[in-house]
Amino acid sequence: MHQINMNFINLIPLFPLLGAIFCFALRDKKPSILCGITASLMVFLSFVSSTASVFALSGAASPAGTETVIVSNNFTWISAGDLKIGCDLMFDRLSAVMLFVVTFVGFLIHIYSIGYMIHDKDSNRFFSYLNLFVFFMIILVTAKNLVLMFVGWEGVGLCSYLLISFWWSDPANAAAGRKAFITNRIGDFAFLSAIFILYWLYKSCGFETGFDFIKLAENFKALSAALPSSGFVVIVDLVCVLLFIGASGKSAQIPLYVWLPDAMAGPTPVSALIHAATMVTAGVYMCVRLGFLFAASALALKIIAFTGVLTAVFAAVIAMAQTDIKKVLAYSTVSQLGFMFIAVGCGAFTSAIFHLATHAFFKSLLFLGAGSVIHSLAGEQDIMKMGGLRKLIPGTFTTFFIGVYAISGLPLMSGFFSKDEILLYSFAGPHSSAIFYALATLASFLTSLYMHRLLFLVFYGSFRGDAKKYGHIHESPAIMTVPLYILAFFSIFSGFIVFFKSLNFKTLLASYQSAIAAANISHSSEYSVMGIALTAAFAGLIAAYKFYISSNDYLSKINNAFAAFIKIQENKFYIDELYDLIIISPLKSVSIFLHKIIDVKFIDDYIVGGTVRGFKYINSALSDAQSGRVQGYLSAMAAGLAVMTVYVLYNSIR
Amino acid sequence: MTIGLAHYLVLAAALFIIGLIGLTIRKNIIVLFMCVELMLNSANLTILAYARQFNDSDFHAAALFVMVIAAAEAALGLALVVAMFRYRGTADSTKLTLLKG
Repeated sequence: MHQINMNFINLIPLFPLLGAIFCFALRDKKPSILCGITASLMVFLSFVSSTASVFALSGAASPAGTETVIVSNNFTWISAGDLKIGCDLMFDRLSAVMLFVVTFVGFLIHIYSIGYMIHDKDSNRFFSYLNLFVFFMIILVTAKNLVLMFVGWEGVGLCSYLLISFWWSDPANAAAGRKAFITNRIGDFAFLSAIFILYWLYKSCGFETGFDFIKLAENFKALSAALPSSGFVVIVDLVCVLLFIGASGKSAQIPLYVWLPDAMAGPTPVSALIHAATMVTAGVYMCVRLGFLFAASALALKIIAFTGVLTAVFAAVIAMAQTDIKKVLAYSTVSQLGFMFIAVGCGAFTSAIFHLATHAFFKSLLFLGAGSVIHSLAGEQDIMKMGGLRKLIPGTFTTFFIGVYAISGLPLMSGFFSKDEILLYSFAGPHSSAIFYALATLASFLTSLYMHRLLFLVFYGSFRGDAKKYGHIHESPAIMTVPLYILAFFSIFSGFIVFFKSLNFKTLLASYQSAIAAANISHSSEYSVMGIALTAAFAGLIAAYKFYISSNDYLSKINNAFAAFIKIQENKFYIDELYDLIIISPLKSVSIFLHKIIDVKFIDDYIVGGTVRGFKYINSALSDAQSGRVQGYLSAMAAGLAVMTVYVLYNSIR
Repeated sequence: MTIGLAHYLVLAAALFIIGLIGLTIRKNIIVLFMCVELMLNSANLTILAYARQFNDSDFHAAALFVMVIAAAEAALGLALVVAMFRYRGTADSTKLTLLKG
């Protein structure tokens, strides 16, 4: 690993931080477009500086066979004994991909938000949080060590909480924010435990790394030689599984996915930026960044792939029965994140990041498109009250259409290339398995089905909502549609990057990929996987067409035949209720016991109240003694005098 | 039986204790004054008994001082009692509890 020092990469996180401070200072002022423009500009400047870093990175000469990394060693942040953790940033090819997604998509969503939030009285605060989020996300992806990454990790969690409950005056929104925050804490606990075990592991073998990613990776080989192999495998398995639990909290995997659908309570641009494009992919990024660890743990990879596959199918099944446009997209995000984890679990880290990037484009496009639909319908989110919007909001329709095609994996769209790679690796990759492949293909079929269901119900057929509203439907302003067009462009074309050999995408993350033995994938299996994936995608499209456009007979027949199942499906398999029963209710009972018995009764009443009552008693006794009757004092004095006299006399006699 | 120092001292002590007990248990302020006078006189009696014992006339001056102070105190105290009786309508010491905490 060839490191070059360039301090200007510090500018990348600096701009959004300044924007956040500026907008936060104006939070109580009258909302103006100034904050929106400043915030967008800051993210744009951040985008420019990360692009400049890309050129600096590709221009830097590096010794043959090594990868170049730009680092900025700023200052020592934590110094405890011989543990030194720096507040240092790094910029390598993986960070470059992530930064492109974060700053570019972030910039477009900021622009869109100017139009979306213009009528909100708190829009200054909104932009402050949004910029703060971008700052923490940049810290997360550019951190040079695991601990600083954790700071970004927690920071984006905080911003997610602030933005989900942005309209906090409605208790439901505040509750959704709390749910996201608390669910993430469970994952973070596992993440922190993994950090501690990792420290202990390196320390016990005499390596002092300061959690620096580069040093961690460099010392990892020596570490495996220094420990007895069986014990080493157990510890690495443990660390990787704990890290994955952390990732599954942030990236909404089973069993910690429940917060993401509720997170849709936030404003739609937030759903697009945080809960689709960037923050929720942080778990995937973390797994790839620590790929050298995961590659050494076959058990963890199996668990990851299994969880990913399960999540991808499960969330897709739930998505099919949802009627809230944002909820459908939320479950779709959960399902797509499952795909990314299938890639990680099959050892195809590059494919995971590829799908992460293309997903960022088409999913933020879909969310912003949904936001535009909601905006046109003055806040209506129920797809059963939409329909026939194709002619009324053509710009939104076109871009949404592209987004649906991209996510469904129909030919030549970005989703086709990235999903195909994942399916290929689950079929023929180094850690592939027939079950993973079959279920992933099923999930891809379901993806196509529920996305087309959404498309047909919203834009085709006839309008099913309130007739009075029909006349007011209008296309969103250009400030909202232009970002849609740009994202649509990338949703179509970002997949073509695989054809540009000069960009070298396949080896973009070579250092991460090389940890896994290169798989020999024959062309025949490549084509057959592609054929099956296309068949699945088209089957989904045709099924949705049959159900929702050509005739309603099929649908009603199926609905009748599987009425009980569909009821369960509509209620999201009662997972929230199940969690409520087995976790939340017992926890609540214990909390109530601790509150009512231990806290109120024992601590407050007996210990604190007892002390107070004791002093009150002493006080009243002393107060009674001071009766105000001088003769009383005199008798006390005389009695004292008498006692002293007797004492003196007694002593003198003795 | 000759009457020596001890007799005087016992008498003085008895007077002092009678005065002290009267001071603590009686209620009328005039009576309390009388008790104070009794205690002052018992002190005087002690002083003079010792003066006699040690043949030292300096103590006589001290006894005279005490009598003068007692007279002045009686004059001032009785005036205060009269003023207070006019103001509060009572000379009962148990009713005077302004110092109550």
